[in-house]
Amino acid sequence: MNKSDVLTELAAIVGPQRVLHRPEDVYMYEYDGALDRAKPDFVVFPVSSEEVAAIVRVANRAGIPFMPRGAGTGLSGGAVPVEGGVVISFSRMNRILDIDLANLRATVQPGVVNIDVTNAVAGKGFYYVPDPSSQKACTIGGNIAENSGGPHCLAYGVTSNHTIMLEAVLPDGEIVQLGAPTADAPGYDLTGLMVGSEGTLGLVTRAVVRLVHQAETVTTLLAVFNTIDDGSNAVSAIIADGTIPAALEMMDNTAIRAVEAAKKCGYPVDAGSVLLIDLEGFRDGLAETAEHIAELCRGCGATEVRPAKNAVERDKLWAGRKGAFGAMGRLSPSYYVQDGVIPRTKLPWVLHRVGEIGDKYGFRIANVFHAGDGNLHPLILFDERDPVQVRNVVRCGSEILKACVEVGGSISGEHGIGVEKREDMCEQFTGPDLIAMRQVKAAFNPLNLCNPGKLFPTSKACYEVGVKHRRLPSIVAEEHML
Amino acid sequence: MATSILPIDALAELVGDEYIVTDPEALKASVVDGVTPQYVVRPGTEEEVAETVAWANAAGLSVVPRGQGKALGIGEPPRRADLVLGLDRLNKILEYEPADLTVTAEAGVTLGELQRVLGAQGQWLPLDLALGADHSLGGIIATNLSGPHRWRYGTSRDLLIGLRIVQADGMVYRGGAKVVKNVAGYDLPKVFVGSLGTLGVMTEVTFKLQPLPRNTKTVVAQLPNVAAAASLSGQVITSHLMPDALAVVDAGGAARLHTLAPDIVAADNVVALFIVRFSGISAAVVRQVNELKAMAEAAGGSIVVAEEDGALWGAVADCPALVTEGRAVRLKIAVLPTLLGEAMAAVQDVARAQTLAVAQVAHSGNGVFYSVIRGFGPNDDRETRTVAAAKAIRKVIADLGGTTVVEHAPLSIKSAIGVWGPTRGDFRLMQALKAQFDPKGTLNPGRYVGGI
Repeated sequence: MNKSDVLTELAAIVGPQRVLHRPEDVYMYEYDGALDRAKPDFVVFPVSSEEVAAIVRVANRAGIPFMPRGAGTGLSGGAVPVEGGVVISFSRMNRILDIDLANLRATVQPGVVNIDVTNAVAGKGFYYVPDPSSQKACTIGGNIAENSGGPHCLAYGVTSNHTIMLEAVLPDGEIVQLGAPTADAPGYDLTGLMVGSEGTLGLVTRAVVRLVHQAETVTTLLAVFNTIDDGSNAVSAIIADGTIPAALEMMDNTAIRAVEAAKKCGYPVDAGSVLLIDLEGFRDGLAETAEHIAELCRGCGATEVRPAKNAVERDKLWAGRKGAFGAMGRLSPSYYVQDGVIPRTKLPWVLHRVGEIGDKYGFRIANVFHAGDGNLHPLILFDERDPVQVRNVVRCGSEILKACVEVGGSISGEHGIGVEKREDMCEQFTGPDLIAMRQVKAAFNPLNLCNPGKLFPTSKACYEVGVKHRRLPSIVAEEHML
Repeated sequence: MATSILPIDALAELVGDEYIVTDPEALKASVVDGVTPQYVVRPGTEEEVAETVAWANAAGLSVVPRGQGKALGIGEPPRRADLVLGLDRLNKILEYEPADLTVTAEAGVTLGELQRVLGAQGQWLPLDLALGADHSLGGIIATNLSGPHRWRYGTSRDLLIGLRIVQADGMVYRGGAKVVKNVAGYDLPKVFVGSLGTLGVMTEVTFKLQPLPRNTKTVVAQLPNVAAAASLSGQVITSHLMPDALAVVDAGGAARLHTLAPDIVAADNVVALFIVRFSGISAAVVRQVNELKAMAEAAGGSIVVAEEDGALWGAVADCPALVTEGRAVRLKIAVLPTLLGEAMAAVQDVARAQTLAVAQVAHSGNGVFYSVIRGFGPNDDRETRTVAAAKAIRKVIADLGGTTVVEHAPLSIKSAIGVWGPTRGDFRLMQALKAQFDPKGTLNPGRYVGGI
């Protein structure tokens, strides 16, 4: 099939209005929230699972790649069509299909915006827990692809903990239901495997997600520290103490200054670091818990711990936190965000290391992150117009991830690998680890047309298997064969 | 069979003679669902596990992984069980930093040993499965066992964050990570939960932990029937109350609970119980207990509040296993929470129709319940009636959109009922995964869903 044949077939499925193919039309779909760019050949806008399946079958027949796209807010290049082909946009599959409060679940199409799920049930006292900072734009389908997190995942878990079952279009175009609506369904947990698979195992076309009852009340504390170390130690003290807050976020001085420059949110601009702490529960006793947490912070050198006086003050503090990435524009033309995770007790060491690595490359780095679960977000400030800086910022990021892995951590806590971090996979995983993942991919996506070029490192050296475990069996096996 | 000429001596040299059993008499202690293995091998290190598995795989021998052997009855009888791979010597806790709230341990460590070490630091792994202390961590994951505290804390699916695996061909790899958030690559730990050792042999596992609950209080409400108890449970999970654990127990389950917790559960005429636990800040616990009492009384319940409730929850967790005696059959059933009362009542009806005794305990917030059915009356057709009842239950549960797994049954009954029930539309993906991870079908052949 040549390109115009593919266009004809795609248009036959969704109508000519819902296929884009001219360079000026597909231009908007060559990037997401990360650095990489690549042009798709087509962008299609299906409205049903059947249309998605038909599109996938056309791409299969044509032998061209295809991939899902939600809102394009991803931070690892997951939605960038690195090998071209068909981008399947879920922007028109954005309906909430069913809300079943009695069974604590909603059935949604993948293009539903994250916050809209909560908005649909908030009046009845419920919400959808995962709350990425982009939640006013990002979609449930994208969240599932990346296994997204957010500040409030500390106490309640990430997207995979809130996904009950899925419908997906498999890479060969079959529509299949993964998992079951009931608990502990017999068989491999394919839903669990699909969540976080970055669109490389299939395209999610429907999701059943968990809803949770809101807590009666929430108290937000702002704890102010002179140094990053003091703030980090307070994080460990709180976690070790046995009271897990609903959210436990940290910002360093650079981040605070950017946030306050962008809009006045009430953060002290001279602080070395601050912790933003949400405590949820019942009115009864919550003040007692808050005082206990405040005491722990003061024990680690907090110069001030104050509760948000009212909802307005609380919302302002959270608006500052959730708008922190955008606020970096006040300090620098561009930023490059990393997403490493470390054991919480290693925070002081790793944050020092991050500073050193930034100094080495001559970049300022702001830190604003989910301290409670050790999920760092160093924002490396640079200028995208300077090709030398662009090269260096990627190196700087990789070096930070290496430091995370050195202390037993992960290179991504919620943003995914995508294109951007695929070569960094070898830092965290051995050849056999990656081969095992490749086996999963081979089971679902043997032709590798479904979102190719993502998640896996391209260097062959990454897949080498040591000889250590193979000696005896091979000798025995060979003897037997002879 | 060619296997008899294999040089087991090479393996014995590596693992140690004393950890290999080949004597036919001694092997009888390791029979798996009626199938006697040719070898039992108990390696002491991950490397020895890898050597053993790779050797068996190359030689065409099937391997049955065994932790502490406590749940080996779960699954269909193996098509073959040439080598039982005992993992009980992998019994070390490897990394535990309380302030990180994570622990890494070898897969053969028992839950009891782990809880002892964690408890000394005021923490626990919140899995309260039946008679859990002697189960190995790897076994718990492979069989996806859980308990009533799953309401608040989830199951292995939510708690397991990393593992090390020996693949059928001997390749050793890691899945997941040792930190609480990780989305680098595929979430491999998920696919091992409940996979019954068919995809690889776990050698090391990393879990998220929780602080031990504080200021616990439990409300036990006696209700007129299981439907009322289930309905109250449904009311609680959709309210602002924040319980740790929930259970609905029928008359048969309550009779056993009485023997385990006589101070809390009455001896006679208990038809249905709803049991719920709260923990946390004292003032909040007290208020929740009071609100719950009001809800239960409105539903016609009579109430007991227990302060010293640890033993009671142990009893609730253990009850399904404890009532499984002799030739009883234990079913693990899952339905939507709203259908729980109807489903439990339907099981009672089926049992009554076949003149069988039934005892049921539900982890009600999750819609999961255990039904133990047991024959009484004339001996001659007990088995026939039990099989008929189990089949009828599976049908009625399927009609409610739920699943029924036979967790325990005498071999003849198990074979007659089938363990897992019908496969779903995603089964071909399961087969494809199995083919990738274990192409020769070495690991636990025939024991899993759809004959995998």
